[in-house]
Amino acid sequence: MTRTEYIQKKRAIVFSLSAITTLLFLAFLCVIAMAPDAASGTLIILTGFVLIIGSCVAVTLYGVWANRFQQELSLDGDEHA
Amino acid sequence: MLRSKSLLAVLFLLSAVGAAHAQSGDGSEPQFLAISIFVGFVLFSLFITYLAAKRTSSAQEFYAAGSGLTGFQNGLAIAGDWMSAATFLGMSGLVFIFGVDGIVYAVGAAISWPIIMFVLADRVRNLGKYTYVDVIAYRLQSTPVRILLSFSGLTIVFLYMIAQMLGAGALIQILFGLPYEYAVVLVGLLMTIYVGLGGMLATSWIQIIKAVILLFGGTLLLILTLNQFGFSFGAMLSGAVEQSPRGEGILNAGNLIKDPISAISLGLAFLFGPAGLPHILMRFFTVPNGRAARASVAYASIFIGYFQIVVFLIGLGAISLLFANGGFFDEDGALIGGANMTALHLSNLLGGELLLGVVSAVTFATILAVVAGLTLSAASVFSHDLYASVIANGEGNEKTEVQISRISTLVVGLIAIGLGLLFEKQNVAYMATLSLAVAASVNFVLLSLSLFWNGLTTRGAIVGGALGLLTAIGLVILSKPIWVDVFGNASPIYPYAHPTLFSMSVTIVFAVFVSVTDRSASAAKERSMFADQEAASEFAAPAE
Repeated sequence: MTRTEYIQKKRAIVFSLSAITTLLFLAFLCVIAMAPDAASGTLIILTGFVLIIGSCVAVTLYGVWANRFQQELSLDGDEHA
Repeated sequence: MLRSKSLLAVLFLLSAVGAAHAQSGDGSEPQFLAISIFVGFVLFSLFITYLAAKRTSSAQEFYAAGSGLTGFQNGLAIAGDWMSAATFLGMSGLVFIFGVDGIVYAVGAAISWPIIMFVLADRVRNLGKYTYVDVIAYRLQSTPVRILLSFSGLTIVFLYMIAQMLGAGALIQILFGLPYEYAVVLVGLLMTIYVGLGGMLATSWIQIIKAVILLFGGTLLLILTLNQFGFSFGAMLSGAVEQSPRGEGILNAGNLIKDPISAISLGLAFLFGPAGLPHILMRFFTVPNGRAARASVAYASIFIGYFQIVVFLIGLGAISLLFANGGFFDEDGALIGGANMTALHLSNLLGGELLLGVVSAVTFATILAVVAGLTLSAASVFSHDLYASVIANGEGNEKTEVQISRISTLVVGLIAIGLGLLFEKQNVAYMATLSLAVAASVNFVLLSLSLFWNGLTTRGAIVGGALGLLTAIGLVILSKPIWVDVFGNASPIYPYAHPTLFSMSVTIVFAVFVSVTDRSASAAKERSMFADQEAASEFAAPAE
């Protein structure tokens, strides 16, 4: 894998994950604003908790993936302060 | 000499806290305990500042703690920066009043961290030196970009700071019986000492300690709350419905946001606002590399997500427990001290004077730490972005820059005290909205465009950023909180509460349009530098 391929693949994943995060949260807010009766209070709370926990999991998994992906390119020695 | 005078001033004010308490004459145990814990925290934090000051002499140490923090330490410090008193007191109060609707704010406070992780963390760390402005100025013309972003950065920080100073003053007034003016001066003085002497190292460790005690304090309060319901979430919800005057209504959503435009605008502010806050972005320079920056966000996201769930459940439990106990309400049926006192009343109910004292002191420590982070980022705008990069054109010496930083800290402290006193009687709830809107509309948009689009030019960044900033401020002025509530007009010109959907759009459209139509030689040069910048942002090294 070349550096260009690395950047392009990482960029595609970053855009996809950011879009998914944005759409999920905006959909959650729009449902609450436009159709508040569509779900019970308990379901809304649980969906909120799933979004919070899901965001933590997504962040952690992305971090692990990014480290491994970086290792694939043998960049360990390249990244410096 | 300066340190001795600063410490003497703090000791004088601390003694004033005690004197005010004595004069209040109520001699109540919670106040005494809260003051003791609070004074203990202040003395300990001053000791940390003293140790940090001995290790802070270069600009790198002052702005970025020598980039010596680990990902875990920085994650805790980021969480400490983000978990403000507004999160703890404000959100528990919001859930107490609005019930299920409070989940919107709980999720909102956690949802930006994936965006920060995916889009910014390692790239900002690899490209910048001390502030996020370094990143945007990497291939664009430094002077105009830094002037614009200094303006937006200071707008964000001071708006954020006013809300914190007012919160601090009101909280100390309620908890300790200290006059508002004393409280504001005390907070201003302490933050000036923390930052002016200890720089980022002292600020970071104060954030870390505060985050740990806030997480422990919140967890303890939640365990005691859940214990009242036999650790059953269902029993807690049933109790809330039974005891709340709104009955089943407490489980109905849709009371806080009622239309899709407001929902999307609020959502964009939550998603992208934190990713443009200068004091959060500055934290990425305290770790040695991009990998540690990613680890910082991962840890911060876990701590913040956990805390949001804890605070939401505390608010939910408080509905049942406080309404079942009439002692916390005045004759009009309102919670004594307002909804923001929910967590404190609950502490008193569940843990008596001891827990109330602990939670009160933790809350105040929270405010101090957040204000210190804001002060450091404002001081860095003056000393690094304006003095060192614009006035000295990058040729000033480091010793002078650190001296300017310390003077800037003093100036920022004085401005913060002045603003705290000036806005004492104002309703400043809209300021938090505005600061997130400006952060999302200007800082985040320009950061993202500069990192991912080779077409961005200086001209596009300046026109788009300036118009986005003006749109955000203008729409907030034309909305109900200012146009009707402050200016006394009959109805607002801008009918929505949040400006972010429109202000972000303005920044993007004008930044892109002006950049695309920019045919200048400097624009061509800036576009050609994108490949180098992209490689540096990923690998901390230019393209091969």
